[in-house]
Amino acid sequence: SFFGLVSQGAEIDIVLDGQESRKTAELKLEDGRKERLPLYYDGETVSGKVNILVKKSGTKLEHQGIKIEFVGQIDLYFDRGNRHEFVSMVRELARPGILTQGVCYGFEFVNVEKPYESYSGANVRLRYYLRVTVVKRLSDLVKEQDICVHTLAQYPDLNSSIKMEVGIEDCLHIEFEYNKSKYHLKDVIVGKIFFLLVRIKIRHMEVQIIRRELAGSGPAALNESETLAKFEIMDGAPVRGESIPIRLFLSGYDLTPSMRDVNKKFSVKYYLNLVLVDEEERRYFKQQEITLFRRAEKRRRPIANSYIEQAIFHHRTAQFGQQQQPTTRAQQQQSQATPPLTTPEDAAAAAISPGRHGDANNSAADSPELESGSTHVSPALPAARSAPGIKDVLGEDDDDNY
Amino acid sequence: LFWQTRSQDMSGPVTEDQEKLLDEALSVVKLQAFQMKRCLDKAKLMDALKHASNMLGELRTSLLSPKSYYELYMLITDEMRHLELYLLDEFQKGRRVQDLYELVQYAGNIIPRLYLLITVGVVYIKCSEISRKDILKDLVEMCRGVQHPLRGLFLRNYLLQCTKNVLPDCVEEEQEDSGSVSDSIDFVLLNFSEMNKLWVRMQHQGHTRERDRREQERRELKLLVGTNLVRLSQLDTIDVQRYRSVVLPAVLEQVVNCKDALSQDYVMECIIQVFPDEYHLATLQDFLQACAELNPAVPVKNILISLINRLSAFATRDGSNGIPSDIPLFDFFSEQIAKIIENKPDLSPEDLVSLQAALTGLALGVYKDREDYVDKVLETTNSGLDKLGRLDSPTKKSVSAYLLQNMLNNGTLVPSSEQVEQLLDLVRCLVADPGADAAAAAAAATATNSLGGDPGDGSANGAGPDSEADNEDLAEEQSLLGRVVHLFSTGPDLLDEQFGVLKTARRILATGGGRRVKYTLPPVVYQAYQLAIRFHNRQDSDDKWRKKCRKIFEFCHSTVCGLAKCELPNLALRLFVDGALVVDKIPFDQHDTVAYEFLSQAFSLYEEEISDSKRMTCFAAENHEPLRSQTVHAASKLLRKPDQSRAVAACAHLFWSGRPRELQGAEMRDLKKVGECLKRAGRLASQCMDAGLQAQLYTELVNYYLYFVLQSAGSNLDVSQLSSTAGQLLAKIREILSGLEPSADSEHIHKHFEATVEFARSQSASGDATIAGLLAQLEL
Repeated sequence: SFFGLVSQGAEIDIVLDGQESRKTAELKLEDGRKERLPLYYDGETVSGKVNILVKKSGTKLEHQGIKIEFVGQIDLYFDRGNRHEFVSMVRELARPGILTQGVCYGFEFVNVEKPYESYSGANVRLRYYLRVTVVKRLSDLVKEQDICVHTLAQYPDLNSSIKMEVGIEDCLHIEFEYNKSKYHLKDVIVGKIFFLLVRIKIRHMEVQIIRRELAGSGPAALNESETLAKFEIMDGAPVRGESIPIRLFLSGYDLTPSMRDVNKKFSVKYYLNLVLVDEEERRYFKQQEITLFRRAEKRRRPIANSYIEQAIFHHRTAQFGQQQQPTTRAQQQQSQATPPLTTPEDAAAAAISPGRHGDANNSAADSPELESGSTHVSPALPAARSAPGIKDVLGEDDDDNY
Repeated sequence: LFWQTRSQDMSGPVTEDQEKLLDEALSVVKLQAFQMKRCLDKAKLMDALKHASNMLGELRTSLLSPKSYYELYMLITDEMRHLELYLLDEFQKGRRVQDLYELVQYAGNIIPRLYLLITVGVVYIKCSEISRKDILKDLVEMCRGVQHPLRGLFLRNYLLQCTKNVLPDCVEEEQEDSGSVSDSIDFVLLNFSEMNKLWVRMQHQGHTRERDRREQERRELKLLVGTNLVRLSQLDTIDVQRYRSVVLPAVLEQVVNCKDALSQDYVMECIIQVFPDEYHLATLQDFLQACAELNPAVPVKNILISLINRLSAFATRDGSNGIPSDIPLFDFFSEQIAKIIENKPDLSPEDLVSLQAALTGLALGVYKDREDYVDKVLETTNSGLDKLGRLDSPTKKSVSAYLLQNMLNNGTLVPSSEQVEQLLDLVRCLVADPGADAAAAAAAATATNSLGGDPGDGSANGAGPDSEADNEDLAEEQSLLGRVVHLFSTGPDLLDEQFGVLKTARRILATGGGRRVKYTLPPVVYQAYQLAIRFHNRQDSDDKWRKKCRKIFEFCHSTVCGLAKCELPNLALRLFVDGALVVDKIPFDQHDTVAYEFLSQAFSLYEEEISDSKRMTCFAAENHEPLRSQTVHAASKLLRKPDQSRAVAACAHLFWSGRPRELQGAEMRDLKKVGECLKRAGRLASQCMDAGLQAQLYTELVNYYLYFVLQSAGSNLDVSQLSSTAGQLLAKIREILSGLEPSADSEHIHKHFEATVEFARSQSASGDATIAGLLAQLEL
C-alpha cells in the first residue's frame, strides 16, 4: 500500500509528543537492520499529531475518512498470512471529505495497555505501531510508525542462587553456583565453579548465554537456539579443590527479558551454558535456565567508581555459603527455614529436566508461596557431596555446533 | 573468536620451531602495539583497548617454551606501560573513563581480559586509594581463572609487578578504608600460594620422559615464585611480630603442604635469604619444625646449613650485638635437628652428619666459650648414628669418615677422656670391626693373589680390585683416624689429663687389630713422646715430672711392644728408636736405662725380623758397642741358615758405616770385624744343603765383598784379604753352578752371578789401578 503514497499527492507524517526528549531503543527489523525507535512503557499514553501534506497545492484529495490505530501484533515469519493482533485501538481523525491543503490532527491513546515487550527474533516478531489510514475508494493511503515497548519488572521477591553438583561418574565432578536465578539486563552474573574431581585434562571452560526461541505451537512450532555470548572463564587444567570465579556483565550483550508463552504464540528463554573442553576437544556442558527481566532504570549513584564497588560487591557474594542481596535476606531465611525440600531423587529429577526449573521460577514469581515447593533451591552442599546418586549428568558433545 | 586456539596446541614446544614461533608472535605484538599507540595518540581509547587485547592475545599460546614465553611477556608488558601511562595521564587530568573497570571485562578471552583488568585496576588505585583494598582483592581472586601453569605464573607475576608500589604498607589503625598492611599480606600470600601451586603442577604435566626437561624449566621459573616473598620483605610494616604470627605460618603451610621437593628446597632457601636475620631468630622453632616436615627428597641439610651460616655470620658481623641471650640458638638447632633426625628415618647418614657438623660450626663460631655444646653435638650425632645400626658397613664408614674429616677441617679438639671414648664409640666401625676380621683377611688374601693376575681382567674378576680398593679405603680411613688422634688434646695446661686421654685412646684403638693400629697407635705414641717433652719443659712447676715421664715411657713401651706383636716390626722399631731419641733428650732418673731398654727392644725386633743393618746407623749411645755385638749375635741366631748367613753379612755394614758418638760422625770402618762377619756368613752359607741356594748366598756375599773393596778404594785399608776370599767364593760358585740342573731358579742365580762378574770386570777395567789390582785377585 506504500506504493501509492507519493502518487496520491499526499504525505502522512506522525509526530509523537515529546519525541525529541523521549528515550529511544534499538530494535532489529525483519531484514536485520537495526532502528532506533521511541520507547514506551505499559500504561503510558501514546499521543501526538498526524500531519497530512498535500503535495501540490490546489490538488484535491478525496477520502472516505481518516483514522489512526494503535496495534500490538505478533508476526510469525513462517505464517505470513496470519497476524495476531493482541492490541488494536482506533481513533477517528476525520469524517469522509476532501483535503485541499495540509492538515494536522491530534491523537491520544490514554494509558494504553502494552502487555508485552517488543521483540524481534529468528522466527517471530512482536511489534507495536501506529497506523494512519486515509481511506480512499481505490487504495488507501497508509502510514505506519513503529514504537518500542519495554516491560519493566520489579526486583523479584525471591531470587535464590543456582547451585548444583554435576558430573560424569569417576571422571569429572563439579559444583557450580550462580549467585541468582533471575537477572536484570544490566546485571552481573557472579558465580563459582568448584572442582570436586578432575580426571580429564581440561583445556578451558566458558560460560555461554543461549537464547532459545519457541515460535508457534503444536507440531508446527519452531525452535531456534542462538548463542549470544561466549565468555572464557578458565584457561588450563584445574585440579581437585580449585574454585574458579565467574563474573559476567550482561549489559554488553543483546538480551531481552525472558518471555513465556506470549499470547500463546511464542516463548523466549535464556540459558547459561557451562562448557568444559578437554584436550581431545570433547565438550562437556550443563545448561541452566536463568530468568532475565528488565528493571526500571535506577538513578545512577554519583560516586565515580560505584561500578567498581558494584562489581566487587557482586564478586564477594560469590563466596559459597554466603547469601546474595541484602534486600532478599528475609526471603532467604524463610526458605532456609523450610525443612529440606529435596530428597536426592527429587534433586536429580529436577536437574535432568531444566524445564521444570523454569516452570517453578515463573510460578514462583506469580505466587511466592509456591517457592518453598520449588526444586530450585539446591540441597545443602555437604549432603550433595555425600550423596553420589544425585550427580547430574553433564552433556557431552564432540562437535562445536553452537 | 573463542575457538581460535590452534589445533597443534598439543604438540608441545619443539626447539627448532621456537625461534620462528617467537618471531611470529613478536611481530604481531609489535604491529598491535603500534596501532594501540596510534589510537592512544588520537584519543581513541576503545580502539586502543581492542589492539591491546589483540596484543595480549598472543600470550594465550601453548607453543612457546618458558624462555620464549618470557621474552614475549617482556615485550608485551613493556608495551602495556604505554597504555597505563596514558590512562594515568587521562585520569589525572580528571577525564575519567566511566566503567572502564567493567568495560575491559567484556573481553571474551580470559588472558587478555585479566591483563587488562590488572592494568586498569592499578591505574584506579594510583589515582585514588579509596578502592585500593577491594581492587587488590578482586584482582588476585580473579586470576584464579588461569589454571595453566606457565600462563598463570606470568599473569600473576604481572599482577605482582604492577602492584609493586601500591600495596598498602601501614598498620590497621591508620588507614581503614584504603587498606592496611594486612590486606597487602593477604594479597601477596594468596598470590604466592597460587603461584606455587601452579609451579608445582608444572611438574606433573606432559609425558614422564620429559621429566628432566620440565624440572629444568621449572628451575628457570623459580624467581617468579620467589618474587612474592621479596615483595613481602619489602613491606616495612611487617615487623617481627607480624612476620611470626601471619606471614611465616602461611608461607610454611603452603610449602609443607605442596610436598614438592623442588619447591620446598627453593622456597625455604628463599625465606632464609630475603627476610632479616632478626626475624629468623624470632621464628627459629617454627622454621625448623617445618624443615622436619619437608619431603624426604629435599636436602634439608642445605637449608639448615644455609640458615646456620647466616646466623653465624650475623652474630659475628661488625656492629652486631650477637645472638640475643634470650634466644638459645644452639639449643633450638640442636633440638630441632634431633627431631628432624627422628622424624625422617630415611634421612641419609651423610645429611645427618653434615647437619651435626654445621651445628658444630655454629657452636664454635658463636659460642666460643661453650665447649660443652660441641659435646652435645657429638652426643646427638652418636645417638643419631645409633639408629643407623642397620646401615651397611661402607655407609657407616663414610659417615664416620665424614665426621672425622669435619673435625679435622674445623680443628675440633676432643678435650677429655670421656669424649675420646664417646667419639671412638661413635666411629667404632673405623676403630675395629671384630666380626669382619676373617672376611677382611680373606679379602686381603684375594687381593694378594689377584696382584699377579692379568690387570686387564679386573672387571671380570671383581673381587680383586674391590679388595684392593678396600685396602686403600682402609688405609685412608685409618690415616684419618690417626690424624684425629692429634686432636685429642686437653689444651696446654692439663698435662695429667692429657695422659689420661692418651691412655683411653690407646685402650680403645688397640682393639683395632694389626691392620688398623699401624695407623692409629703411632700418633698416640708420638703424642705421648711430645707430652713427655712438655713435662720436661715444665719441670719447674711440677716436682713429679721425672716420675711422670717415666710413666709415659712405660706406656709408650708397652704400646710399641703391642705393635711389635702385631707383626709390625718396622714400625715398632722406628717408634722404639725415636723413643730412644726422645728419652735421650730428657734427663729423668735412669733415662739411660730406659733408652737402653728401648733400643734393646729394637734389637730384639731386629733379631727377629730385620736384616737391613743400615737402619741401625742412627744409634748413638754409650751402649753402641754391645748393641752391635748383640746384633751380630742376634743375626747368627736366626733360625734358618740362609737367613743367618744374610743377616750376618748385613751386619758387616754395622762395623763399616756405624757412626758411634766417639768418632764424631765419622764411619768406624772396622775392617777386621767386617771380614769376620763376611767369613762367618760364608761359613753359614756353606752349611746350606741346597746347592742352588748356596750359590745364591755366595753370589750375594761376593757382592758384599765387592762393595767393601770398592768402598775402601783410596783409603789405606788393606782389603786384599777380602779380595782373595771373594775370589775363592767365585770359584766355588762356578763349581756349584756347573753341577746345577737347569731350572728357573738356577737360571736366576746364573744371571745374578754373571751380572756380578760383569760388574766386577767393568770396575776393574775402568780407572783406579789399586782397584784393578785388587779385583785381579778375583781371577776373573
